[in-house]
Amino acid sequence: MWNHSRFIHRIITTALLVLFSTGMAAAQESLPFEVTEDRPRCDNYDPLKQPFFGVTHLHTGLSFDASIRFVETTPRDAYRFAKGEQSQTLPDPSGFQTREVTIDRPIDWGAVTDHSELFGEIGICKDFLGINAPGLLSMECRMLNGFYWSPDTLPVNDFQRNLASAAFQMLTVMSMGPSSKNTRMPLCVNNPEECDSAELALWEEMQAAAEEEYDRTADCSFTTFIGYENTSTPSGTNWHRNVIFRNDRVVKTPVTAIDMAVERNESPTTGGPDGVGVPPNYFGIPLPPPDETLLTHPLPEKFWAKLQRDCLDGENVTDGSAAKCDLIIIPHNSNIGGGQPPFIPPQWFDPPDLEIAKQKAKMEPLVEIYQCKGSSECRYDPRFKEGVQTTDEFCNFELLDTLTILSASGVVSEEGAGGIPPSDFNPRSYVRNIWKDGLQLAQEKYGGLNPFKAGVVASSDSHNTTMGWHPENAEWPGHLGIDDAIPVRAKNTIQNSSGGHSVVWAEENSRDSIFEALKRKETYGTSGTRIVVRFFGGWDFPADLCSTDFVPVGYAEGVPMGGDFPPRPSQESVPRFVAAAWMDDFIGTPLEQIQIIKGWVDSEGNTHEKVIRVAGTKGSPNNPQKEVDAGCGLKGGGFESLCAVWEDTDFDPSEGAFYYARVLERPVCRYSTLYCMEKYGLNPLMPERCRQDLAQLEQDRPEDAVNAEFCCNNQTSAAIVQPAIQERAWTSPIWYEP
Amino acid sequence: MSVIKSPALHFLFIGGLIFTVYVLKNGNEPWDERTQIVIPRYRIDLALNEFAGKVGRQPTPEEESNVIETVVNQEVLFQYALDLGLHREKVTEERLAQIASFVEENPHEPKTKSERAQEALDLGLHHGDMVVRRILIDGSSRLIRAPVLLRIPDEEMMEAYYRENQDAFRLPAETRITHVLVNSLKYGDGTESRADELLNKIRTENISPDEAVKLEGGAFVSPSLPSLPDKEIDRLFGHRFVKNLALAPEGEWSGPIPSRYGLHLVYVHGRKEPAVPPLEDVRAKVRRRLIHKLADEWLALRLQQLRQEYDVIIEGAPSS
Repeated sequence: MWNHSRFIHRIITTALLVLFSTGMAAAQESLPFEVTEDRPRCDNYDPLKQPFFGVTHLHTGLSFDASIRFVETTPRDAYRFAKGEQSQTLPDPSGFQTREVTIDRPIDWGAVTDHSELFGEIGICKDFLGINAPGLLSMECRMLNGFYWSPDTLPVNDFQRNLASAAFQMLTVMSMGPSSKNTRMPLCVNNPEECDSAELALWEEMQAAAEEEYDRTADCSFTTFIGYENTSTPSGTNWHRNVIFRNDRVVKTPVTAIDMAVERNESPTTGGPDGVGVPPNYFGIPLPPPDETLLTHPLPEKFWAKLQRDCLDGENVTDGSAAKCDLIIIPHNSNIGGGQPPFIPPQWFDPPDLEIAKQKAKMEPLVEIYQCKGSSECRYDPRFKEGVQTTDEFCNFELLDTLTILSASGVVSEEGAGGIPPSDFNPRSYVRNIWKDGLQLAQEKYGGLNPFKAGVVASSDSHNTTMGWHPENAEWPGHLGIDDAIPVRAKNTIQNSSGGHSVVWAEENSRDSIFEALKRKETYGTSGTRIVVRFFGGWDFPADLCSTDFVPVGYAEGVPMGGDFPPRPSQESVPRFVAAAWMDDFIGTPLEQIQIIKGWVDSEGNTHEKVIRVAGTKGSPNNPQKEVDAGCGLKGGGFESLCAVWEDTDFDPSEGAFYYARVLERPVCRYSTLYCMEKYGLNPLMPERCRQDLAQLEQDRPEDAVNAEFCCNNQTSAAIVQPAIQERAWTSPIWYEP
Repeated sequence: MSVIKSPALHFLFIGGLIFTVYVLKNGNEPWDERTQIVIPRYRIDLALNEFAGKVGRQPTPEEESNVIETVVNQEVLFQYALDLGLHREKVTEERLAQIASFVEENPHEPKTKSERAQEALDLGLHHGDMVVRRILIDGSSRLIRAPVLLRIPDEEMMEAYYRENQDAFRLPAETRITHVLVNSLKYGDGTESRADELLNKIRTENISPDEAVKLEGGAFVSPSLPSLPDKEIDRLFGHRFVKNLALAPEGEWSGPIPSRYGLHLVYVHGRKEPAVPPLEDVRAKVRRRLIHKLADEWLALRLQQLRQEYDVIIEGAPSS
């Protein structure tokens, strides 16, 4: 009887698979992307592609570091917020759930990426198993649930924030040490089976939320992706990576930082030097050089290899409706990767051999160039009048005065009282330099294979569930629950940015179409506004492309952003680019200029860069504040749209190169400026007056003055804050390989 | 009729039934054993002070009464949890035992968890312990809500709820257009005159939408679009375009309408007014919202009942 039913089950399964594959094959005909989902194509389908604004990095109350800060939300809330279907309640500075925020314009797609390492613990503490387990009383749950804290029992403000920071340290200390000693928290070490079930229940809830909020009709109004963040932070360094799955067939269990261990810790309950502990190099003592740290630090290749096996090879995949599991991985925040020379931000170590270099290039096609914790494109510091391997003054944008992710996360006290000199940053703290080094590594080490050929996304990394909302005004609610409920209150909060968008050029708003756009890097990032950018490169493009329908030409005769130059047709062929941008007319800030940035490596292995303004006006590099008046009005005009064709007249066919476009808007006041003006009557645009008013505020309203301490900071201050900024977009590069 | 179908009434009926069974089983005892809930005045004052601290002013009379209501409801739920015996749950006993050991003279004396927990209860420690309070209050409100959340609402109730809450499920208005873009990157200062010239040509020669799109290239946005909501049109053309499109009449050429790309001559094929989809299309969403609403209503109703069953006394004079 048992065999019989099993036989029938097999026949039915096989028949379904055959039917499904046949259906897929039929659906596949004439489509430019692989179809892995059985769903209608979108009514609004455009073979020449459309820009879809989305989110690749966002946290909810299921992330431990959000939950400890009284963010009480779920992935469902995030998706509904992004669609404009519901507002979001956030904790106020006292911890009460009183702040209600609503997105100004819905977005098109998004992935919730909660921290995966504590899924088991969160699952228990938030009672995903519904059994009122004794673990609910554990110290871990006290911390994760805000110490069973109640706003009416404790003094307000700093005390709660300090508790949250203490909880953060205690909850992450297990992964602060060398990764081989990573473990779960004792709550899970002592109840592994219950913890596994809780982890599964939480992971299934994340999948269910994504499924429920995904529009599978031909309207294609919103696309969700299932994802999570691997949060490996050994010794306070940043190995964080987001994993985004293509469809509803995902790994049964997230592959996490614990899986990156060189060797597993077999005695996690034993403390001391051989067990869990804080390594000597934590808290500021310089880390050993990369070759040595590799011996004791986590191995991303183990992470890639397990995801390869579990997902791509289908060995541990859920029973989703899609044909196969597929994924991409996106590292973020190289800017705070712990990259003090000679230490390289570990996401960007030289892969130890060619095989691992190939793995890196395949698994990590994108990099996050900007988010709430600052810009990772490049660094030029006006206080030192120098940059990190650059003289590009437009790199003075959303800089953080820290080398480590912990400081930027509001956990440990800030470094660098007078700002950190650019020479203290390893060049690979910034994406442009990483791209340059990729060319160099391809040339010198991996026989032409570039391990760092990553396209661009931007996101928020908000822990407030506010998916896709990046208002550059006093409404911005911070990104970390109670910690920055007053966003300007501390040095490490006022330096946080309002986050940006990941934009894809895709045929339609469906998972398969968007995922393939991400994979082929036809993407750009913005710092929060919805600039539209097109960028194509090709051999011998006509010089008058801007005045023609250049999109079909761009695709037919060249490659879009993220692409590779095809082989050079002749010795005379020259690389030409067309870059066009249109302003966000909802916000209404005009454009200032389009730049093309070229990076290349010469025959001796030296890398170079060049920034070329190809359209628009020069502006005030390095001091956008000059361009706005004291009331935040823009002095002078700008452009609704810009377009240019540019030829690289210095092109040397023997040199590997990349080219990306950066579009700058005209300056606007930063959210912090508007917040300080509105809430405290302090105007950072008038430094002297601002300081006088702050002194008066200390007399009149000392409780406000405490929070306004950094309002008068500007780009000469020890803690750098630009009162005015130039919002921007960065495209994925187009690569030339000799 | 709608009153008879009211879910709240159904739950009131169920509650009444339970109460009747209880009375029949226990005779008249409940009337003789009404539990007193004594709320010290300072709890109310604390809550009111917190409110004032948070909003930076004293509460209005209405706000004050809301704050007091909340405090009283919490106390009622706490007492109800004790009546239900939730303090005998493993997780609560653990905590009670733990707090008893904090105050014991000899915390190492061998005793069972239950014994220790009982000591905590005898000493009244549960009244002041935030953890126990939280578990008990959460526990009783969860228990009250749970049966409703597990229910599958019947079809009639679903339909009634859907009828009454259509706005929440309404599909946005849609517009179907064909457009001819006069690309400002191509025409620069001549964009406007080119747009006027083309519109004039289309109108005088009565050119059909399918033919008209051939007059200019299909740059940037596909010239013939399906029926789309404003949000999608905004994404494709920009904000200004959507605002102006609303004024364009159906079945004829309009324009020029500015967008981020230039000026558009637009033919509006038709508009769909905001529409309520068939229940079938949104069934899961409707059910989810309905049962949460029912659970909230039931909790509110049950709280009212419970407050009748207890004598709630606020002890102490209001602070000046």
